[in-house]
Amino acid sequence: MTVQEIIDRAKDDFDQTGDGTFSDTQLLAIFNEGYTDLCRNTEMLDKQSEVTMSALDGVLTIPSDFLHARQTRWSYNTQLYAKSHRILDYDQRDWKNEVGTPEYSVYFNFDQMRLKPINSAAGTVTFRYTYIPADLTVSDSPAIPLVYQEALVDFIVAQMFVIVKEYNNANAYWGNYLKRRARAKRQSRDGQRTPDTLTTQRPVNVFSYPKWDQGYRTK
Amino acid sequence: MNWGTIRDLAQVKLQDSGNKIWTDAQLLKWANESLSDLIIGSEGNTKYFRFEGESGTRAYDLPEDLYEIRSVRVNGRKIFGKTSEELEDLDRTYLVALGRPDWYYLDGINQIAFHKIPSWTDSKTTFDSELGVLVNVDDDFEVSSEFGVTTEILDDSGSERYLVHPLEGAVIDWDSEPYVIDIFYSYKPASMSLDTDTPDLPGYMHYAVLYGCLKEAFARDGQGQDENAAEFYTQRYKELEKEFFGRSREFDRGQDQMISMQPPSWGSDQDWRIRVFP
Repeated sequence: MTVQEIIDRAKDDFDQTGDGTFSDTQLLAIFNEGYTDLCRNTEMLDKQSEVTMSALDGVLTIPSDFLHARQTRWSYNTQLYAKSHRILDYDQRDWKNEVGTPEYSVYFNFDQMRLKPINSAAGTVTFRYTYIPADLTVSDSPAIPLVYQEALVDFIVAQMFVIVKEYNNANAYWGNYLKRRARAKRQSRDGQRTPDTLTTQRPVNVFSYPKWDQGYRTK
Repeated sequence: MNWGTIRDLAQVKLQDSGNKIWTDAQLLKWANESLSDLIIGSEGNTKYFRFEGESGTRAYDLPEDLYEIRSVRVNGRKIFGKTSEELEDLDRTYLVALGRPDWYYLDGINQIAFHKIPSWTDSKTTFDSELGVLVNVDDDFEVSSEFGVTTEILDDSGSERYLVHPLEGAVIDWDSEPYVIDIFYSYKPASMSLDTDTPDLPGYMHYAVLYGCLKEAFARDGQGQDENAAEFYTQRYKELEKEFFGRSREFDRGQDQMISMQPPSWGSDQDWRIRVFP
């Protein structure tokens, strides 16, 4: 579906024809709010990006659309493991002066990452990460699979009903949105849309056989 | 999103594009309050502040935007914090003792102070410290100190002194350069004032500023008050605040390091414990 089609479906559910209460521009803004919310919560979109670093740079700015790292590598072949300032500070009080081949990534602020040790030579940091997509226009199509785009219709309609203060209708659509969002989140974890071949791919944080079995049977 | 875009969206949700009920100034005030509260709620914004000490100066001004100190380093080496009462117990001369800092403490609310007071010199004949022992050696001799350390004469133009650690017996560094002090801290972002100003938060958190603004607007007494809408946007705000808190834990933004560590539902203490102490 294009964004315009999603907006039109939302207007239909809201029983609005033409511009009515909401203009398409206003609904596009609400769509982008929902699109960001869905992609943020489910972490369903991921991509790869590279940052080239000179020797002794040590600190880099991570991509602006970065949400969560799936893998971080130094010069394509060394996995960088995440460590916190706090852990490193207690393990090794001089860690920030260390120079060598990077082994750890240390995130700080929401947009910075430090290498530990500081890179002694030039190299490339490769991020594989989940991201927040850019806002769309009405002629674009969302990057998420078609099956999850229904959730965006629910989001828009729920917001429309909140704005006009029809809270019963708003709650119904908002409940639908949250349910679809939760389902999309479960499905969009690494490997979850493939058959369950490994025990670790069971779709729960803490393994619960009844929940897993229920999820398995409903597939 | 910049403030102009956030405000326009807020006005759509408030159905008040003509500012009949809420003024732009009110919306901006609530947005800035939310922006500030998010930092206290999430501690997500951190940065470094680096400065050079002045030999003999005990206390230094902290950055104005500081909310909480995360760590302090002197020449790259982490030092730990204590209260002035603890330092009083540790060393009754802590207000005057000179040397290489081992501890930091807050002096009032806006200053950081060090024990020992940062002190160095490039004159090797006047350097003094309680940490070690100064060994006088004459030109062109090889000497042994009473601590068993043999030192070579490095300077053949005159006598030279070496700082010897009293317990370990090793010659330790000579401090002749100003100490470089790094403070890593969480900060309060700059307030927005112009339409073109952008909240100092990741893009997806700009909506939290919007929700924070809306919850205040709907909760305000008078025309336009709506408890249901205020509650709805409060819940939206809290969801994002919790999630940002979860994501801002430095460890959490890295990839899962153990097979069983799956992405948690953000903000849950239980999930966080599972993640950190699996």
